[in-house]
Amino acid sequence: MHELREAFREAARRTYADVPEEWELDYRFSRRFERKMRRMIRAQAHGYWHLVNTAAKRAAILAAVLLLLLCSVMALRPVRERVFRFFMEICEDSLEIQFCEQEENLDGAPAPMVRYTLTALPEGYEEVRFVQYEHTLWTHWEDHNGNSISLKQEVGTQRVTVNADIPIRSDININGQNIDCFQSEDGMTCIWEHDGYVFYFSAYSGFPQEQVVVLIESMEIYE
Amino acid sequence: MLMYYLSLIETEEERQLLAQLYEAHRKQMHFVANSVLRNYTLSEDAVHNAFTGVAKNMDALDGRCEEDMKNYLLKAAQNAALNLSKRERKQNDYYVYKENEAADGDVLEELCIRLDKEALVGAVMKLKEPYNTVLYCQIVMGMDCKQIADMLHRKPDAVRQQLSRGRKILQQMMKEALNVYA
Repeated sequence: MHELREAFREAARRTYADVPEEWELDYRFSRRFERKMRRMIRAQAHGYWHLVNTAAKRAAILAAVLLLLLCSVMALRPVRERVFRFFMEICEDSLEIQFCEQEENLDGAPAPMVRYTLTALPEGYEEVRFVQYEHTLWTHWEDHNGNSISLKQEVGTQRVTVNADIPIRSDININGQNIDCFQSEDGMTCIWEHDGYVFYFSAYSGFPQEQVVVLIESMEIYE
Repeated sequence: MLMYYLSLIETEEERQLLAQLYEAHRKQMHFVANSVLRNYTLSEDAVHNAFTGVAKNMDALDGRCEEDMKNYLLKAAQNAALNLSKRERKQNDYYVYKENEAADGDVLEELCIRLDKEALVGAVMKLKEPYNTVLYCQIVMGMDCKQIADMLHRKPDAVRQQLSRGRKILQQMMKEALNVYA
């Protein structure tokens, strides 16, 4: 192969024989080019240059950094809650609201579940049903007229279905805690977090809101 | 730690070499690129692209003589210009090779021995781009497929195919030259 190597050398020599010497050429490169080349030569000395030497690689790294930052920021509870509320607001017309705090709640919640109940029930209401699943406790109360209210507490990834009609959403603040209330023709649903659980209070339509505040304030551990 | 310092020295040396090559041949590279593109600004882009490719494979320049390095840079510039002008594709279409021609190293070596230097150089000079450059990189610069692909901003598979086709075309040209001389 020595002959072939020499032939290639000679061919290249002849091909570029008419290329003038560097000093004979008086072309002046543009400032943009000079700047770009200076930057490239300087950057080439760094070990990471191979990782960032194309636009696609730089974009991929930027995306990875942004994702990492997003994950870090979302690890902060106040930020996460704000984002969650933002999505709740823009999806207000949708039927389902999802709580995405599964692991934290599962880790944070005491096992077995501690049952909570409402103590300041309006007159005439009695507990008619209590249902217990692995991650859910559900208590129903009813009055003589068949009006019912219920309290559900859950751990894990939670999905609550609000009535198919467009609900009216409002916030209630009880002892510094925000409670989301959705009101529609069929009734009212309030959702909030407490002690690692997600609580849902449901009442028939027309249930007075001031009564809801009293009820939620009265929530205690079931003795 | 020692390895770390050694790697720093190596990159510093490479940086200096790249800067030297840039100072020594950038205008010549631009001249070659401009002979393809006939556009000064586009030719600057071609020179930049060529240097980007060269910078990825500084190892290939280890121990090379000045002339080899210069020709390597000029070929890099020429190819970068061809890539920009899309002229390469037209040339590829023109150089149709015969698939059924066998091309192995032994045949090529035998033909090299049987042909005199002038005929051999003539055959190599007839070999068009990109085959000429990929074979130059492999035979003269001792680069592998991946290195050539990095340098020319192509996929290794494409380079592998170009090397194979280039050898077949070269072999055919050498046979033709042999017939003419015979």
